[in-house]
Amino acid sequence: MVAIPYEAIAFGVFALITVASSFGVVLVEDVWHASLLLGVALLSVAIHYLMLRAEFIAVMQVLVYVGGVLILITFAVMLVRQAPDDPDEPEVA
Amino acid sequence: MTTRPRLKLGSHLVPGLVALALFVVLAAVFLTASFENAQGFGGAPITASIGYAMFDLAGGEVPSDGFLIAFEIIDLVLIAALAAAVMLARRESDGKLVGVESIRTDGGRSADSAADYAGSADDADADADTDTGVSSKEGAISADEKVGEAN
Amino acid sequence: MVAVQYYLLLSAAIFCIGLFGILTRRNALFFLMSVELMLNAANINLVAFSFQYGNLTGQVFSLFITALAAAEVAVGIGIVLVLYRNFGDVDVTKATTLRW
Repeated sequence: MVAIPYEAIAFGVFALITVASSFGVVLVEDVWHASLLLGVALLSVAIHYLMLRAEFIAVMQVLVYVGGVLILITFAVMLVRQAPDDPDEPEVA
Repeated sequence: MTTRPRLKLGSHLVPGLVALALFVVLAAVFLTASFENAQGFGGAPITASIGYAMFDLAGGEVPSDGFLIAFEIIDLVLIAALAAAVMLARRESDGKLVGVESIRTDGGRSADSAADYAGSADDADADADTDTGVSSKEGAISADEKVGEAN
Repeated sequence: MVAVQYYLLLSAAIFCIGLFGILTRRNALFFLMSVELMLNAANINLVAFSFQYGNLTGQVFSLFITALAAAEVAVGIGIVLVLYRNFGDVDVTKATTLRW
């Protein structure tokens, strides 16, 4: 019976999620969607820390980044963003 | 209003090439370097060892450097960041926000805004606004008021 | 166990994505998010080498980087809000007061 490389599969899946959501952060048009994708990227980076046996760093990543930095960025997005007048017209970003 | 996320795809040829070239260089370096097998931490208590390392105490089972000086320096940096964030976000005493007409320092400002800016300067020195021309008198008055309040 | 090279590749990819974001976007909020991505790439590198060599220095240093990133974002958000009040926009190319 062939041993299934669970750890390599998990690394591949979460590396794909991390890279894809990071691309989404820089490529998406609306800054609100970008901040949501940044949350996905930060959480999947926390999972990479778990796979590297750095549990405390992972917990701190979730607490500080997702609980602090992302909330601050969300507030800034809400305070700063102008709603586009015409949904078909691209927003200046 | 919820909208689907849309991509902003313009022509970003040069920045894309710069980032891609950096990635290719890094990947070539990483893939040609040889690493032995990862040593790992065994069964040592990692979080407790982080605590010992951060305060430069003996007793951590995993080898590490001491970080007490770095800890204190970062403490000071966090306090500086707190002060900077408060300074950027505070309201002036007359209810105005910092920066509404007051920090803008180009030629388009009015005499009142120049006086406000001089009055809100920390040193509250009358010669701080000698370059503002017409508003220097008002600026000096408000600066003096600021000194009176501070005392 | 996943070899350390793959973590380094992942970290290089995230760093380059963040660099691309900084080079292409003009919105100050995108700048902040791209800087977060780049700091996370540095953290992944430090933690991966910490595991590779069985030494905790990298993990402690990544904690310090996390704290500095939080402080940087706090100041950056303040700057973005002042930029928005002064110029009515968060486009970093419109803040040209110190340039002539």
